[in-house]
Amino acid sequence: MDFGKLTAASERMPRDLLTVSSRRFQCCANRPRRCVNRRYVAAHSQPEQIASAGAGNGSPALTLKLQEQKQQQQLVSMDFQSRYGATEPRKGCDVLVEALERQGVDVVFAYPGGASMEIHQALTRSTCIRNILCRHEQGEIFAAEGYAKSSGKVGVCIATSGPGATNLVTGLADALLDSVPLVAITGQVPRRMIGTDAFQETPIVEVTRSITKHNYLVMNVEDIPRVIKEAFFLASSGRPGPVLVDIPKDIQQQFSIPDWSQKMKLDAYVQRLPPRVSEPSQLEQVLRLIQEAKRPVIYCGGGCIDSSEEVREFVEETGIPLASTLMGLGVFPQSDERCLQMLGMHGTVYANYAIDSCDLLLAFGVRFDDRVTGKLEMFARRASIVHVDIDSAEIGKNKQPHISIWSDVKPVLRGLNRMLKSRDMKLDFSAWRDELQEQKQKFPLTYPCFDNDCIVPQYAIRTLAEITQGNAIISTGVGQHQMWAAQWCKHEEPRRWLTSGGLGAMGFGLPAALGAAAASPGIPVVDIDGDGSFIMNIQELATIHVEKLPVKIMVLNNQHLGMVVQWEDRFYKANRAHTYLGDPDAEAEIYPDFRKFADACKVPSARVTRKSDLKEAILTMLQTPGPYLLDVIVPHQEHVLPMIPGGASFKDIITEGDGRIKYE
Amino acid sequence: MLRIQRYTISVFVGDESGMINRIAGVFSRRGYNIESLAVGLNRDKALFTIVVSGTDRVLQQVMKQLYKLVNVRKVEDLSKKPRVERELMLLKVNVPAAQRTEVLGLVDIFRARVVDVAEDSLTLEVTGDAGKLASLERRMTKFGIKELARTGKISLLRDKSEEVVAPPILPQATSVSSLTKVSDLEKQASEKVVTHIPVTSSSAEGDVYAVESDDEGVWSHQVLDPDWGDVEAAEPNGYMSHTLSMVVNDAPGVLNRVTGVFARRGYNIQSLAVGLSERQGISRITTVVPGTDESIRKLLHQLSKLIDVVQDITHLPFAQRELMLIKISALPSARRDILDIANVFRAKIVDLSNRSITLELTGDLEKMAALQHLLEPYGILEVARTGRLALVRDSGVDTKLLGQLQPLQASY
Repeated sequence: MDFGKLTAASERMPRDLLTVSSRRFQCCANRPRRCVNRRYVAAHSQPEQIASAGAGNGSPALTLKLQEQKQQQQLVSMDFQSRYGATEPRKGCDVLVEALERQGVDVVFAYPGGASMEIHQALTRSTCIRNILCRHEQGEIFAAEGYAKSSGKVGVCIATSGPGATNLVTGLADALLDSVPLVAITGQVPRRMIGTDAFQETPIVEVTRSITKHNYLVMNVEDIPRVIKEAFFLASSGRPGPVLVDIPKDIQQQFSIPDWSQKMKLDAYVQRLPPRVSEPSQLEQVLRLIQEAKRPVIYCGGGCIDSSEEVREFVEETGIPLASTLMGLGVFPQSDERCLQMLGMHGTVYANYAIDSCDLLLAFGVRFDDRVTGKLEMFARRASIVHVDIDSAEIGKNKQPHISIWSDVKPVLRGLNRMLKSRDMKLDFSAWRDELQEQKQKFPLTYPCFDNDCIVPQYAIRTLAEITQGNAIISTGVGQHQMWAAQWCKHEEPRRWLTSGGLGAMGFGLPAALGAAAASPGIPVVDIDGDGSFIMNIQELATIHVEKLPVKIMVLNNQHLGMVVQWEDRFYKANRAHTYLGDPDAEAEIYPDFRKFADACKVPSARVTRKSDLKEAILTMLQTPGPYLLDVIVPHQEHVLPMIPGGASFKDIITEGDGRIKYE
Repeated sequence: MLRIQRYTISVFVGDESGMINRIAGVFSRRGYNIESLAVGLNRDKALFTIVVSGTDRVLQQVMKQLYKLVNVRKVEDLSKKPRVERELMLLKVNVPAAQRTEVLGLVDIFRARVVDVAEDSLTLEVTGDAGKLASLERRMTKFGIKELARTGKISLLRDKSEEVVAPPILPQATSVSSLTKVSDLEKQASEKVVTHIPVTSSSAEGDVYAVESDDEGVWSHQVLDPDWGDVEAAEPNGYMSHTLSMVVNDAPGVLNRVTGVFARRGYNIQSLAVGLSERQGISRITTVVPGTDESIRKLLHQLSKLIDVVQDITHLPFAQRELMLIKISALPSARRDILDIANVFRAKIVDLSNRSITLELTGDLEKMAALQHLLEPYGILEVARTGRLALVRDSGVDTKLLGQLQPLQASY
């Protein structure tokens, strides 16, 4: 049972309350809406379920927490005021919308169509749910991901049947691989027409079976309250993930009296959630390994995103240096000298050096992805491995650990921190840190400087990072710019870094940024994008203008698919195979002109080509109220370095070169 | 660690339309070929017994992935534990009259049973472990095997006899004990109908989808129901169980594709048996699906787009058999009674400990249900069923059809 997360959520409540209400005033400012003052709860769980799961443990502290949780729940249900009388029949779509309201949903990303228009009709009757109308279903699901990633709450998107539903597929796969809590609701053709190849019919439950954590086809209007409750619980508990709920149109239209007291039917799932309390003997073993280790290193991933404080405390107590995965950036502040930045294929030399020569690898909330490990046998080959993960299927999947702890990272680190504090371990890894510091001096992250006034992409990101000082939420597309943003942005806080890691879905940046802007109005949001990625969801320019979402877009425009070009340079003798995105008949000019796109959508924009103008242009972008597009023209010859080619190991690391050199 | 072995996994799942498809998907997306699969249903739950080969590590991964499915309640690797394993095979052999005695001798040796006799063929039913079935098959090859259908293995763990005598009711027991509560369920169902609000949509006119309001199609028959066969042809709207027999190429993902055709259209598979057939590389899938003649005919068209041979044998005379392993809690004092019941049903005892008895029973659906009902009071611990097998009777005679014909003839 994921109690760590639940308690964290309740601790956060007051702050959430503030932000939610202030946001609500903002979004309601321009339209006459009656706002119901209602509390928001991030943890969606049933007290009964928790009680039954926790009964076996029986620790008094736990029971106390359960009681708190229970009270919290009751408070919420008491607070909720339905628009309908208790015995008043209403349409299935109204039941659905009320079910969402009861889950504390304040923003949905929904695009209507024939099979989902009932839901949209019901949404207009809701007083506290704001719909953000993205211009493409892929945009809307990425936006819901951005919302979820930046806030930690469950993102909700709604689409119609057929093409609407299939447009969600990429986003669902992305959310599954990056463990993003998401509930996607799709309309379906009426029950009687299912299987008849009706207009806009796809078997979306079949299609998405293997790319969702779970999915539902609702076949009875009375199931809606339970299914939605389950969907939110599944999406946010354990290892988070996407849940799809497919609702036929006749169910949306059918009248019923919902029974909100229905219990979830997830006993088997709840029983399989990881234990809340970790075995002290296992923690004892971990401490012993730390005690014996000379060169330990922490390998910290997306599973730590809600345990940032615990990770910081653990590093403080032990002095063990930390390398982060792409998904874990921001968990530990990069300004700290014990932070080795990102590891893996495009990670820093010193992070990969640390992994290669460590004797103890503390893997927290990670999955030994191939982009990180390269050749599996060579990865951390001298080290004992401690693997803590919430998903038992990840433990031992790629690399066999010496100690495996099946748990959320938070309670484990809390336990370790408590034990570390209570005894004097006399840990001293300064020699090891000095060695790494030396590597840091020897192989720092660098980028080339040219005499001419052209803008090197790394420099552009660095300049932006220096101005925002890690305070902005950064989203990216996929490709070179993504890796440079990972390397050069200062990641100081968790949940400020939105990127498509596992799936690597281009076009992620702009929609994710607008979702984050909807979730966190007080924080500046910058989408660092590439020209290829940006144009994949460029239609969302209209959304950010219409919905008044202050998203800043910095496009690093090199007229190429940079990452593929880099691989062509290195391994395909620089033969360009459809990686040029400009106009072949007019290579001298920049094509397409993104400023005109922006103009058409009433988004202010500018283009910058000279290094000397860059800082000024970025400042203008950040200071202009509302959305803004900055088109930064950069050379396409730059390579993302360092680089460990796929399937290779640390000794094969490449630190030099660019597209101006010929490779054999 | 890299040794490839054959593993038997049992998976216990909750009710959901398309569950078989979900399970099959876990295997097919990793390219593993399911060698055999037996699905036995019990009210709202199902027990899958899957045989798959791979390395130990592969198996561990698959089990963990199965565990991640929300409706899976229990996954168990039975391969290394003491267990009872049985498989059911129906075999149609070419037997000219001259050779019949020789074949019947073999039938005796293998303790098989003859279920159908025709001019020049015999249909045999035999249960046993894989080795026994293989050797019978080999013996029969020289006569010429016309058709062969196997259920796939089912397994139950053997009880350790030393253990203490208190009969614990395992969680599985509930899956069976619900049989007695049929009346309760019906009551619940009827109450549900009362609370149902018969108001149809106000915006039905001018809707994107015009739906005639005559009936709700297959969706009104939702829950997995092992006793569907009891109402064969009795439903006024033409609903009845259809037995489909398919021959498929033995490749990863085949099962996933086939079950997808059903799941996508909301059909609930009542029974499914996947096993090897008379030819190498070819598997036979026997499945029972409820539907009207019309809807099943459409389904067959969809299926025949996917696979080699598909045949609805519902309206032909066919022999059908199912295999059940059932473990009953039995203190020595109650043992005699149970053995009596077993005798009447010609069930075989395959395992005995001082707190339980495991029986093996073959027969048709009604026989299974009847035995379960009778054993209910003693406490049923575990049940594994294979799903139904069916082969067309060469003799052209079917008791059920005869029963239906009787009144017709009388009216002449």
